[in-house]
Amino acid sequence: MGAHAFRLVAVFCGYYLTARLGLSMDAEAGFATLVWPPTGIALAALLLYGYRLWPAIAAAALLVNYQTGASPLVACGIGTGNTLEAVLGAFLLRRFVPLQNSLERVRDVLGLFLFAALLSTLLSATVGVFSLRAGGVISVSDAWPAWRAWWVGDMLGDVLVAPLLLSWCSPRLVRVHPGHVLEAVGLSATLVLAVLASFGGFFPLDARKDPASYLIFPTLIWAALRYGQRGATAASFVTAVLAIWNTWRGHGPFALSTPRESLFYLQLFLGIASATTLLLAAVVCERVRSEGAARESEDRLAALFRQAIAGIAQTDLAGRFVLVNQRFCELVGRPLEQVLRLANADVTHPDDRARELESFRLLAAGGPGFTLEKRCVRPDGAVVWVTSSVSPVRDVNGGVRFMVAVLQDVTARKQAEAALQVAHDESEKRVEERTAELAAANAALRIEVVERRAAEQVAKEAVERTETVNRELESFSYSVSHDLRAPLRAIDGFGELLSEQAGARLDPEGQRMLEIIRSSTRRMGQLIDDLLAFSRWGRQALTPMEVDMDQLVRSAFSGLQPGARAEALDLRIGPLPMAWGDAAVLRQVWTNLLSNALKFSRDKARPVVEVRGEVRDGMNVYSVQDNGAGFDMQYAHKLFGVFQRLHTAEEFEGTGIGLAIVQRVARRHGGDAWAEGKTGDGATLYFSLPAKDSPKALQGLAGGAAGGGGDAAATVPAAVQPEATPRG
Amino acid sequence: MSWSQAELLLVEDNPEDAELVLRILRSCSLGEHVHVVRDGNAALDFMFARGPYAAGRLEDRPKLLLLDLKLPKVDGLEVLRALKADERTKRTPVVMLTSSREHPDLQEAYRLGVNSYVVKPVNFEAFGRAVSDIGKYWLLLNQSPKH
Repeated sequence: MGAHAFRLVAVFCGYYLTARLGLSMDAEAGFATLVWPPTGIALAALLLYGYRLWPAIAAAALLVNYQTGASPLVACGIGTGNTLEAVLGAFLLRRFVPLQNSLERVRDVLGLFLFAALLSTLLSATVGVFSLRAGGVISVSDAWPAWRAWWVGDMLGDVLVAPLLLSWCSPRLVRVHPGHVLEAVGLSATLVLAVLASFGGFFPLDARKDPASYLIFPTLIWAALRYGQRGATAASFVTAVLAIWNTWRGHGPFALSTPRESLFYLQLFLGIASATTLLLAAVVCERVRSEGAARESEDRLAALFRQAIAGIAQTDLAGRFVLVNQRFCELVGRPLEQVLRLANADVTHPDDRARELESFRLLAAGGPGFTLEKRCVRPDGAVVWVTSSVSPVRDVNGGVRFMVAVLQDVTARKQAEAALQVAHDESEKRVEERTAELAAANAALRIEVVERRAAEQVAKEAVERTETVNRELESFSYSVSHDLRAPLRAIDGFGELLSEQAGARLDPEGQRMLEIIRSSTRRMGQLIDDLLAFSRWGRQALTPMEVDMDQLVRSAFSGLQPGARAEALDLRIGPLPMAWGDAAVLRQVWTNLLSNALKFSRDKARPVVEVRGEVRDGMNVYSVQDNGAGFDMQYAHKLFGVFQRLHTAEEFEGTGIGLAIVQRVARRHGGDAWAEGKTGDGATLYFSLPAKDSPKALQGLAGGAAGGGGDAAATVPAAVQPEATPRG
Repeated sequence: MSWSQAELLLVEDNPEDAELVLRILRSCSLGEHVHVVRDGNAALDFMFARGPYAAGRLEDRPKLLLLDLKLPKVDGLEVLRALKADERTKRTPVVMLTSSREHPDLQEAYRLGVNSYVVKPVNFEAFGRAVSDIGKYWLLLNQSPKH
């Protein structure tokens, strides 16, 4: 509020005092004055500090006019006109320009002239003169000169006083020139001298003959050029004050018969001079400002150019470097002075030159800018991958004046891409290798499949051959049993008949020989039967299963012919491990071993047969020990041969097939049979079978698939089965 | 010996065996009504009253067939199959006499409906005992249905 009140007082005082001054110099009917600074003060006040100051203007105007002798009503009319003039002027300037108070733009100055000086003053002059006439202060004939004086006086106030206040009371935006004190002093002195020379009356000058008044222009121009708008307004104001004062005193080229007439023309002259000076200053300010903006922009661009991460180069149409930044020099690996002696092609990889040249050619032919990837070669031979974006800079006629290239180092990216490509190639190669491996494996597999099929075919053929052999063997066995036995039967039969019918006629020796024939025949039959049995047990299909050997031994024993001395026998059956094998075949083994033991121990007073079993190295080992005749260990290997006997038929009957069958069966199960003994001290016969989980155990027959006796797959024919290495 | 008198048909290709069988049968008074043929074909002709035996009557077929397994032309199992497949002859008892102990023959014979299966022992005493037992059992002891 304090500042506002002060401004109200200041505006009131300024308005009142300058009004009084103007009125004192000249006034049409005491009111219409040619020198009327208050108009400028009022306008500047409203523009600078707002419309709120209008009461000070209205009050001052009212007071001045009342004091000058106007009736209160007339004074009110004039005051209203003056106040509205300032408000209208300020309003128009703010609304339509919009005004910058420093007046440093041409539009501000022109706006001030048009809206304030020419238009708003019409209102004041019209209202004022109308008020005077209505109040009867002036006659109708005096109205025109009064209106004219009023208008021109107000106009000059807006052209001289308002700019001075506006430019000096608002922040200066453009500092035209860092003015030197000496220059300012010189300018001021020159100005005063020039004005005094023109208007001081020291020389007898006639405005109509001598253009002395133009002497003020050079100094006004000087002020405008060197000191901007403030200089212009100040110089114009000082000039005006001096000129008016001198002219009013009757000096100078505008001094005419009356001060009023003199001042009228002087005012026009000063208005024009001031307007010109203000416009000039505004133009200067605008240029300076645009220069500053341009310089700022240039500085900004230069900073960008210097500090850019990208390399930037300006080249002429021949590709020679005109301007490059530091980064560009780093990219191409050369010092600045060296780069400026080179052309674009000199730093480009030979393989990329043709491509780039073509792009440049298209660009020169009117094409747009382009971006390409290329390699730059440094003096040390290092290659740098860059993306080069080239744009043309054209003159006003559209011709290309020079080109600007912006280079970005993409070596890292390129290396990454290359690495990626290598990795990609590598992975593709691996895929190919793997595919090849798979193909090879596939081929191998196919070969294997083919081989396996062939092997299967071979196996199948082997099985078929085996079957054939088996059938042949069966046929052979049949023949043996049928065809060999028939003649034997005939020999025996007719021998018996001979013995019955002609026995009496034979001497004892003849009868003995006949008996030899018959016993040999029976023995022959027995051999044939045993041979067939051996063949049958060796050929029998094996159906492996878990076998309770304890039970099997007892069963086999009970199946033996109960001998006369059975009750005397001491048969001990130890705990036996469960076996994995064919129960029927193993039963035959036990039968053979037990009958063997009984046979050879029957002569003992107390025959003892002991059956034992144990697990040894994954094999179930069973044994049958007797306390009988025993045998000499040096013949142990012969014990298991077919028809091999260690005793005569007279000692112990038998063909020597039982143990052969035992060994054959044991070997077919993956085990073996052997014997220990001592002549006269009994014998122990062993056989071993692989345990169920042993790799040697019978395989492939489990699960009962080979249930049938005639199953070819389960049949391992004796004749083609690989024999284990004979013991001993 | 006419066809109608035959109570027993012996089918045996081996003449020695045939003679032994006949001797054994005679020794126990069963040899009077035995007819011997040497092969399977003749056996079938006899049984079905055809060919050389066309004059015979089916009603007078023998009470027993002693059939060797291994025969020329038509073997014993085929003869057995033909007889057991025919309504007219399937009730006639057939005893298979064979030298073979081989099991497939035994199985097949029983499957075809043989009435007995005997392995001829090499030992003559045992053989004789077997043949006489067979003759006595089937011809004297056993009751067959009327044809």
